Formats: sequence, structure tokens, C-alpha cells
Amino acid sequence: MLFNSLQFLLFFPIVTILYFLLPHKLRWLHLLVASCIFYMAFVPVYILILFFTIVIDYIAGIKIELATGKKRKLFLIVSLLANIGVLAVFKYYNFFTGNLNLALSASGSGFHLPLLSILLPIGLSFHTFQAMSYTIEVYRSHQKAERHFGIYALYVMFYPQLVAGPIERPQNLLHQFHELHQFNMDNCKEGLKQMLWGFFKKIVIADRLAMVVKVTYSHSELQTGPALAIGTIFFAFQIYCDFSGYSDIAIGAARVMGFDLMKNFNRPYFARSISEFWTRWHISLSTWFKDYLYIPLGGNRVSTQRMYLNLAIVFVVSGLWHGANWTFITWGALHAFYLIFGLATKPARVKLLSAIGIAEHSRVFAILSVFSTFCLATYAWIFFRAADLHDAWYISTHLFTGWGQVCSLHGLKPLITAVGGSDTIIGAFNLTLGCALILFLELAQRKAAHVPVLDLFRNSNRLIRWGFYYLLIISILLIGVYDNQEFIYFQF
Amino acid sequence: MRKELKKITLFLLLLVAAIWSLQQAIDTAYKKRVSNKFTKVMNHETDAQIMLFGSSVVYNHFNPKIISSVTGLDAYNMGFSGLFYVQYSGLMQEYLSYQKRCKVLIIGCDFDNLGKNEFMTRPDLFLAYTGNKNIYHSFYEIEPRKAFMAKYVPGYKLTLLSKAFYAKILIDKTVIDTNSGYEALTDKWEATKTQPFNSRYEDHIFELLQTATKEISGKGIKVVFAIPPVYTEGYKLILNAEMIKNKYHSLVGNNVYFLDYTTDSMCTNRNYFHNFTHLNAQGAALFSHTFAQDLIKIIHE
Repeated sequence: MLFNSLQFLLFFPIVTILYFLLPHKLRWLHLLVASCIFYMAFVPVYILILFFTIVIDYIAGIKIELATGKKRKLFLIVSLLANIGVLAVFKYYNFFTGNLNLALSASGSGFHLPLLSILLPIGLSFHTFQAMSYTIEVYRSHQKAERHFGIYALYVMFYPQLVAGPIERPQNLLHQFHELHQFNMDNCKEGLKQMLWGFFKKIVIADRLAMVVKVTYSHSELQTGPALAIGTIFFAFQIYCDFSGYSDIAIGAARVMGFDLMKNFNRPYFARSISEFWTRWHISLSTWFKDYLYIPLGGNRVSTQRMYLNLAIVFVVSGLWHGANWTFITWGALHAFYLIFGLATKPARVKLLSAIGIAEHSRVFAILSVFSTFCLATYAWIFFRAADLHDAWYISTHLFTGWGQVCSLHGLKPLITAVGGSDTIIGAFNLTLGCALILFLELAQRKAAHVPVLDLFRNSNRLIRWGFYYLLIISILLIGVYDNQEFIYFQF
Repeated sequence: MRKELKKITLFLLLLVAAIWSLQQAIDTAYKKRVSNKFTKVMNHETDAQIMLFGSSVVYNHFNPKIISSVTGLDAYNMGFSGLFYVQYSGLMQEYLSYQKRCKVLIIGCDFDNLGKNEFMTRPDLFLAYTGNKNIYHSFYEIEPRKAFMAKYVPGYKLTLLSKAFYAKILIDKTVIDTNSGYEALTDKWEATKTQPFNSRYEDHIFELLQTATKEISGKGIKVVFAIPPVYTEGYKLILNAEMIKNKYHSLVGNNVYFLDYTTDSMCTNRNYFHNFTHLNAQGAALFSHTFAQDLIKIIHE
């Protein structure tokens, strides 16, 4: 079930009201059934895959806790293999087999491995990672094994974050299912406000920017450099609003019922370096990789070369987590390069700055840092969004061509015409609206540095506060895009 | 808690009021600013002695100027591409509710006319008028849930408005109508379907047409069902063509006529066609002339 659908508008209040009406001992069952309905609205049969990993991880968790010595590790490996095995079959088999077949063909071998014609279960990477974090934490004795099967199943399947995160840790979420949540008006209001902001980001900003991005990236050879640049910048904000919008709706929906999910985004485009960017973007995934891959590899308590290697491994795996495609691997590798290059050149950059008289804490430096980080992250998005490496290469090499025509707007004409469906006025309107929405988003987020955007007018009178909420709701109705666009991160 | 509930109720009431007012303002702006043959009927501005309703087979085939010059009666083409009977019946009923001059009402029979599309065609034409019972019924017949919500759930209609709808309000999109609603197709041959197929047909829609025909003819207006020429090769592909023609034929009675041009000699000449089911400008001119000659006989009957 999509958050941005009519079904969800009915589903959410019904589930929430029933949740508070039911006695505490039945609430887990109610939420579990609701989560099954939510998940089965996509491809019903794939719930069997979820049950398969849930049963294995549930048993593995108890076995790990009860076992001693090498047996603990054995049960952990069984659990990890089950989860990674599901990912390998459904997400990566065709990618690796396809590449292997290509290599075999190139070497003149007539042998080919068969490809599978299967659909990727929605949100697979999210719930398998959440399940893995449970058995790892039980193995590390940071979490007690859950004895209640239903509650454990709910930990993996809790509908707000089931298909696109945040990827929760058992220490944060599991105990909340045992606790009694009384209806709390403040939680309800804060949750609804966060959901409203999420819907606004998804339906109004992300889906409107998607119109321009789709045109740019599906026919990149027809576009000029400025058009490609606009499409790429729009994509940077599209993916941010799409994914952080989903997270806001998920966190808000859980909050209304009294659950506290982890923060997933923290104004990533205000980051001053790529390493800071990764503490602000998809926080639940980046901390997952840090805790369960980077630190076990040795983290930064190793030689410099080994640390660089660790970073490269983490980011290439992170790219692969996003999708079984060379574009995602390149995207991950590019971020690894940014980080390693940044670390390696830091002493020289500090010297250079002091030589030209720019203080590290000055406003100029801050602006330059935010701008350059945004440019680097946006350039990397080209590889994330392009259909294949050939397209990505074309876009990145043509990004700086044709800028001489920008002043006359001639260079943007093909883009404007295509966005408007051959109507240039509508095309220009969509482009202008897209720019205005990005500006609004950034200004609102800048102003609301330490509070949620919806609390910007917390201290103003009711007229202004309500006016702001009404403005957002009416914008969602009036300029929202309603063609049931899926969230980008569902495919992961 | 009670104070909070009061606040929430007030918030929601004001929200509904704001959305409802906005919806009304947009509908009003559309009705006032947009001028095309659809809005002219809804504003009760169009009336003619010969009125033609139907899909593209009316819009692109019946030239009112030729029909007027031959019959001596003024004619108006109310055809819309992609609109079948169930969708334009509301517009037709609205016209009949106010007309004072109509002598002949012609229904151009597309072979899909007695079927319906899964979704509304050109919803932008209809959305501002969901408050009108005739238009609402047409909408409801095709997409009942959407029609119901558009009329009764505040804000839902706003989510259906397309950029074309806004563009018509914001940009002056007055249609210059010098051909009394008619537009010809180009001479370029663009054949589409090549496999045999069954045209859409639903008994329920035929019964609606039957009831409407009785009402219109009862008012003294002559009703003419006309199937325009179909290119021979294309006609062969329509598997249920005879059944559909028989349905129209069964409606013939007092003040109700049926003209079938699918066996006309021009059906064998591809030079008159744009595709299997649509005449080009040359074909439409010739057909309009032939049709007008036949219409004279009916008018004087």
C-alpha cells in the first residue's frame, strides 16, 4: 500500500483508532495483521519470503542466546546466510549471472547460466537489514532474544517502516511493542504534523520535480548541458523529498500510535563535507553500515591504507545495497573516492586555506563548503539515476556543454517543450514551480534548523500557525501530483 | 482533552470551508473564463435547428456549413473525440433542457458508441460541472467512485484537476469556432488496427439510449442515427458490426430514423479516408453533402 494513496488515507485512521480501542494484550496482533494487509497490497505472495526469514531469525535469536562458544557464531551465520541468501536470490542473482554470462561470452565459452524471471519483493533490503541487526545485536549480547514470536514478527513487519525504513535497531524498537501506549494528544499532533510535511515533500515537491527529471534522463541525448544540469539538480531534491518524505510519514504515523522511530534525515544538503553528508543522509542505513561493517572491518583504528580500503568496501557495498546495477556500484565508489580524497588532501587544504586567508570557521568557508558538498553529491546522483553507465557517462560529459545559449533560454527549449508535453507555457510553468518549491524547501529547512519545519510558527498566533498548515494541505491538493507515483526507495 | 477536541473540530471545519470555497472559486473561474463548445452548452448559449452529437465520427465528418447550405437550416457540430454516448449523454440532456429551436437531433454512431471507456475522456471538460445533475450522471456511469467523491468529498476534485484545466483558466484559451464545432482531418493515411476486433457494446447503455430516444422524439424533435462511412478493409475487421447496426435499426420508429453509410460507394476509395474509421477533409466534405441530401428528405417527411 502506498502512503500517497486513498487506501492509506482510510487505512491509517482505522488502524490507529482500533489500536487505541483494543486492550494492550491484543494490540500486537492488531498491528501485525494491519502490517500484513499493508504489505500484501503490493505482491501478496512475497509475504511468504518475509515469514521465512522471520521464522529463521526468531529461532536463531533464541538459539544464539542459549548457546555458548562457537555454537553462538554458528547460529548467527545461519541467520545471516538466510537473510543474505534471500537477497542474493531475489536481488543479485540476475545481476551477477548476467555479468558472468557476459564474461563467458567474451572468453568464447558457449556456456550460459539461466536467468530468473522474478520480481524484487518490495522493501527487501530494508527488512532483511533490520532482521540482521536483531541477530547481530543478540549475538553481541546488546539485546535479549525476543521470546514472543508475534512481537518479533511485528518488529520486522511494523507497517510504517516495513518497506522503506528507517532501518530500526532492536534496542530502540522491540521494547516499545511491549509497552502500553496511552493516547497522547501531543504525540498525535506532532505525528500528524510530521506526516503532513512528509506528504508535502513527496506529493508536491518530489513528484513535480520527477516530471522534469524523467524527461531529462529518458531522452538525455536530446538535452543541452543546462537542461541536464537542471534535471540533475532537480533529481537531487526529488530523491531527498521522496525518501525523507517517506521517512517523515513513517515516523509521524508511528508517533501518532506512541512509537518512537529513529531520525533518518537531517537536512543533508546543508552538510559541509561528504563525511558530514553521510551523517545526515539515510542515517539509519549509514549507521547500520558503520556498526555492522565498517567497525568490524577495523574502522579507522587501522593503518591509513587499510582505513581507505574499509571505506571503499563499505561504500561499494552500500551502492550494491541500493540496487544490482553497475550505476549504483559506481555511485558508491564515487562517494568512497570523495571521502578518501578528502581525507588524503585535508592537510594540504588546511594549509591552502590559511595561505589565502580564509578561516575554517568563517561564513565564506561555510558557504563554499556547503556548495561544494552539494555539487559533489549531486554529480554522484547522475550515476544513481541514469539507466546505465553509458547514459551516466553521456550526461556527466555533456553537463558543461551548451551554456552559451542559456541567456536566450534557447538551450532550455527542448526541455521546456518536453516537460510541458509540447506546450511551452506549461513546461516553463513546471520548471519555474519546481525551482520555487526547491527554494521554499531550502529556506524553510534553513529557518527550522533545530525544530521540525511544521513548528516554524510554533510561537506565532493561531491564525499564522493554522494558515501555514492550511497552505500546505491546500498545496498538496492543488499542486500535488496524483498518478500514484511509487517511492524511489521501494525498489531497494 | 475536551478543549483539544474543540480545537481539532474547529481546525477541521475551517479547513473544509477553505477547501470548499477554493473549489467553488476554481469552478466559477473555469465557467466564466473558458469558452468552448462544451461550456457554451453548459451556459445555455448554443442552439441550432440541426444539432449533431457524437464522438470523432461526428466531430470530423459532419460539416455544419455544408449541411446548412443544403438543408437551409442552421446546424452545429457537438462532436468530441473519444466521447461515446454514455459520456456525452449528459451534455445532450443539458442541451435538450433549454433548447427552443432544435428540429433534428443527429447522433453519429461510432461502432463503440454503445460501449464505454474505462476512464473519462477529457475529464477537464466535465469537472467544473459535477454539480450539474446531467453531467454528474454521465461521469457516474463511467467512474462512479471518482464521480461521487468529486461531488461530495471536499478537496478530492482538486486532486483531479490537470495542468490543461488550470492552463485554460490561467491562460486565455477561448476556442475560435468558425466551423460551428467541426474540424477536418488531414489527408495523410494513418491506419491503426489490423487485427479483427469486437467493438464495445453494453446492453445497459443501449437501454439508456432507447429511453432517451423516446423522450426526444416525444418532444417532436426528429432523431437521426447515422453511421458514417467506414473504409471497407476496416469494416471487415469489426466482428460485431452487423449486430450493432441492428441495434440502431431497432430504434427506428415515429420521428426516429437510421442512416447507414457503411455500404456507400465512397467506402471503397481510400483517398477519402484518414484511417479505417475516419474520413479525411475531402471525404468529409463529400459525405456531408450526401448526408445533407438524405436529411432533406427526413426534414420534409
